[in-house]
Amino acid sequence: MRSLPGLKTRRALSAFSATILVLLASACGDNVPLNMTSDPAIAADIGQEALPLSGQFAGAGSSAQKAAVEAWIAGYNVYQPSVDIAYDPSGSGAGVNSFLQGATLWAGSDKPLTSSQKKASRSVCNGGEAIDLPVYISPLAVAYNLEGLNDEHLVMTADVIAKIFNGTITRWNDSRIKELNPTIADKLPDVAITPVWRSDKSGTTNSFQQYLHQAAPSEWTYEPQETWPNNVGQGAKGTAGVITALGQAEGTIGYADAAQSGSLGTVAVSMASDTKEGARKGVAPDSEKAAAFVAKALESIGDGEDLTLDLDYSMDSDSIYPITQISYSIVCPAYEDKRDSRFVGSWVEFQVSEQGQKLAASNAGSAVLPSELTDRITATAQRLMEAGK
Amino acid sequence: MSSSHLSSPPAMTVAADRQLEAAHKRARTANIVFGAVAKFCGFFILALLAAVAVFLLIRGMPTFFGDSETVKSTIASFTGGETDSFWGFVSPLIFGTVLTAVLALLLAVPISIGIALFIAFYCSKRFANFVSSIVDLLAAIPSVIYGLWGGLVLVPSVFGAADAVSKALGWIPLFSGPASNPPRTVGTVAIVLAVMVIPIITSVSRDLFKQTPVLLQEAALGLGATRWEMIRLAVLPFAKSGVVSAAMLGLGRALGETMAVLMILSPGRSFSLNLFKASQNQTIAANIAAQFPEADDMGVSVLIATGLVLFVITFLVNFAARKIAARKPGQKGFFARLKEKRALQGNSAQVSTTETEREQESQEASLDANAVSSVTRSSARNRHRLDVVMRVLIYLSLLVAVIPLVSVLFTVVSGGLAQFNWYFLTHNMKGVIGGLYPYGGILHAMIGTLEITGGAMLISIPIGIMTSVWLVEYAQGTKPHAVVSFLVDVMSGIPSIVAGLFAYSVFSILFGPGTVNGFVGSIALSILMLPTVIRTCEEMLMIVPDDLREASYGLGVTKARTIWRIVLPTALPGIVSGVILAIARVIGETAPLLIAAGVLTGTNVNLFSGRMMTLPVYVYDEYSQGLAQCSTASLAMNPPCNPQIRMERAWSAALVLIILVLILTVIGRLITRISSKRLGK
Repeated sequence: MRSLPGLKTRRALSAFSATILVLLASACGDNVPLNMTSDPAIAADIGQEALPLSGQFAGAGSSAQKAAVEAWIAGYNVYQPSVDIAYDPSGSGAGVNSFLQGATLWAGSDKPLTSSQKKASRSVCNGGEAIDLPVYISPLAVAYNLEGLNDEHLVMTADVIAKIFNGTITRWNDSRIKELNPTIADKLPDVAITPVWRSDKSGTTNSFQQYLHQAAPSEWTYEPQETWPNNVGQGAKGTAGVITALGQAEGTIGYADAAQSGSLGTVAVSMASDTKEGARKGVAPDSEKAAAFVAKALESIGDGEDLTLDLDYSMDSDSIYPITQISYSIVCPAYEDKRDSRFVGSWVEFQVSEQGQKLAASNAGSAVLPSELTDRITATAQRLMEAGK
Repeated sequence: MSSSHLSSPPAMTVAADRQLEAAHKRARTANIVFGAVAKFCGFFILALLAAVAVFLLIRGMPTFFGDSETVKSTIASFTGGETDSFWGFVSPLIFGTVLTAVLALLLAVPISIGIALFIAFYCSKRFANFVSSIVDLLAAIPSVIYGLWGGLVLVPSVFGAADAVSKALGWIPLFSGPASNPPRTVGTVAIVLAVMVIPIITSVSRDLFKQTPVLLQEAALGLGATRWEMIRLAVLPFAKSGVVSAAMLGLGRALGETMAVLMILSPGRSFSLNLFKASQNQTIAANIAAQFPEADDMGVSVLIATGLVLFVITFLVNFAARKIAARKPGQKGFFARLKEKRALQGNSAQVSTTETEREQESQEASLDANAVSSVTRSSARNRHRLDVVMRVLIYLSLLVAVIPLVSVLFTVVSGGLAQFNWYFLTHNMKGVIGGLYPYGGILHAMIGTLEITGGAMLISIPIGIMTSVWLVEYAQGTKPHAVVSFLVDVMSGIPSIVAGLFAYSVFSILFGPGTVNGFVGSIALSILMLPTVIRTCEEMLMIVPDDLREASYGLGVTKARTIWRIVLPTALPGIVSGVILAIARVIGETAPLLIAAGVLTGTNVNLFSGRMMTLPVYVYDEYSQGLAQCSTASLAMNPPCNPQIRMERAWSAALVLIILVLILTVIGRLITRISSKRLGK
């Protein structure tokens, strides 16, 4: 039994590994967050008169919001350094579930609560019904990969886009695409079109289908939902999967956050469904125009605190960009614990503040909220903070 | 002490006797307790497997017995409204799962046999060792890294080949064109799965080929057979059923693969058999991983029900594999053991069995000789030509296996060096915003991997060792032994994502819905570790010479003490190396941890509360976030905003993961080598 490791060796080993563990545990390795005010892209004005808060607060939900929420947390911590916010980007569905179970204070969600979910929220919202606050707008690009044409912003109508994605138009030199792009008609190659869609359930798919369904109802007859309805072309998981697939072959076309489109071409969307007019101007993905589009929807909304937006995708105007995804912060109108009310109030206020929106714009590529929307959400947020005092 | 006892007066002897008595009693109690613990662990495996089935059933039950409207709308939401019945949902998935796995197998089996033949008959012993370790390397690379490599390197590079084949052989429906571009197709997935399955089939086949009786080989060669003829006549018939069962094991592995499929395949829901068209098929495992994050309560139930279906499929495949393996002499499977037991019941019966076996063997040998002599009559030139052709094919198969390995390692190293630095190793992702500096790191993921794997070790190593002790030392030849041994085989076939779903179900049923923490991950991993630990320990304990045990018993030492003091220490190096290899296998598991432990940006050191990041999940998470957003101003900052940062972090974390797995594998191999030398093997 000489070969047995000696007791001393074993003790030394266990002591060594214990030390390592302790060392690792003590140094958590948090990054010193960038001082937000040093980013020239962000206004240096610190306007929020902060009531100091401390503690740990958790939210969960939409993965589309992830990059924005990360930036918001870092920015928020400039004002409230002793608040520790955890956001779990587990997906809208899971986020709403854990919010309704009272496990988190707010949920990030790509779709507003259903009426039954609102009823269910009473048990965690101190008797009130949870409210949907649109805090994140992102223009979606219809992005394509065609050598030599990626800088051109091909013009397409909703009809043509729908026909491409339902497999009616199958080649890039189709006359219906040529008609809309007379200046570069000869450059359109005789290459098969490969539509690329999201293979996982996603709010992005839902928004894109809402647009197709409303703007080209005769072509896109599928009921819009979070799962892609056909198998024309290819599916890829997540925005990154779509972008990767688009980059891997010529002739692909897909939808993704405009900020992710990188060196791919993006379609300039022409509003009218009528293609006979020949060359028409289209609107390329643009944050301000996406915000203007959302602002239009606000005109028809009631006076309540809940701001569920009903977008009209068939709108015809050159000053808006209609393929836009909205993501909500779902919060309670009041919390049992006053500290929670105060936190959620100040957190939402920061999200929609000028700084918060600029942070999200420069780090997640989202659009800055229209001021009408900001004003209304800020009012709700401030009421929450008051309630928490 | 003892000498003073001897010299003490009679009065003291009585006391000493009492002491001795007490010591004996203690030893007896310890003996009984030890035996009971071992037995408990043996039956624990039975309970565990039952628990896997039961918890999955409970959690998946609402799919069949829940509110039918909710079930229908949930399934409709998964399929884009195509179907709302469970079987309509799951049957294309079953088809896709079986299709990809079978295709992978068709590619992998010939190559694996080629490599195994090369190792066994076509090279020097030293080079054979080298090739074996290369094959082990292939097995050690985590599937998430194969996924990255397949999705980003292989997919863009196989279109040319796919296009050419579909143009030349398009009249065969399997290859009909036009080939999809990018080729995110079943064909590409099959290649990656084949690479992952090759090591499994190769290592089993290699061992079998080496076991071919030398007499048979020499007889064939002595009759003038070429090397290939010797292989065809002596080796392949001998190893046939074993190779088939190895292939079935590989099939089981391919059926359950998640990450590689998820990251490469463009999914579809058809029953079409077309290798080069995208969006035709999807596998059960990849579908679960894709839909799980956004699934609501009922959605999770439906997905778990599909997981149960996958569990049943892999169970059947593994069952078949064991059944086939059981036919082979030498290695005894479930049925062979049962038969043997029945034979043992009568002495005469036993003798007659062995005699028939011997007869059969000699018959086989004589058949071989006949075959050889008939072959020798054919033209010598043709035979020689065939021999050369086969030799070239066998060399080629080795080359084919080396290409992906080199490519994977090259990509990971070249992509991973960008962020591989001290800061990366010592920081987490908290406070990291988009592509801005600081770029963050993997400390939290390393801690998570360490703790979750550590937890899995604490669970599976004691239970695994005690189970194998029970199997070898207590239950040898009994019926419970056969049953537990079979269940261990079944466990080794559980797809990793099913293990993840099981752990998730247990915790969400016992501790409230959606309970996700590091320990859930540990449970999932320990299910994957247990069979490997048990199997290797069992083998190691079997090699311990019986002389040692008998010597110990002869000195009046209790059974428990003999095992604890003699048997286990002797087998220790082998056990350690087996355990290390088991760790290397689970440390790269992604799919179960994605479900059980989730993702987190900060460091969480508490295994029992809150989500925990792990290295493989980190790789996948960074990859799936895509480009970082950088404003013009932030690009000009120093250090600048880096739009590619997430991909760089994914590769660097993959590099760390590979290094970790390699170190573990090398340590495991070294210990094996040393221990086998010690045991004089």
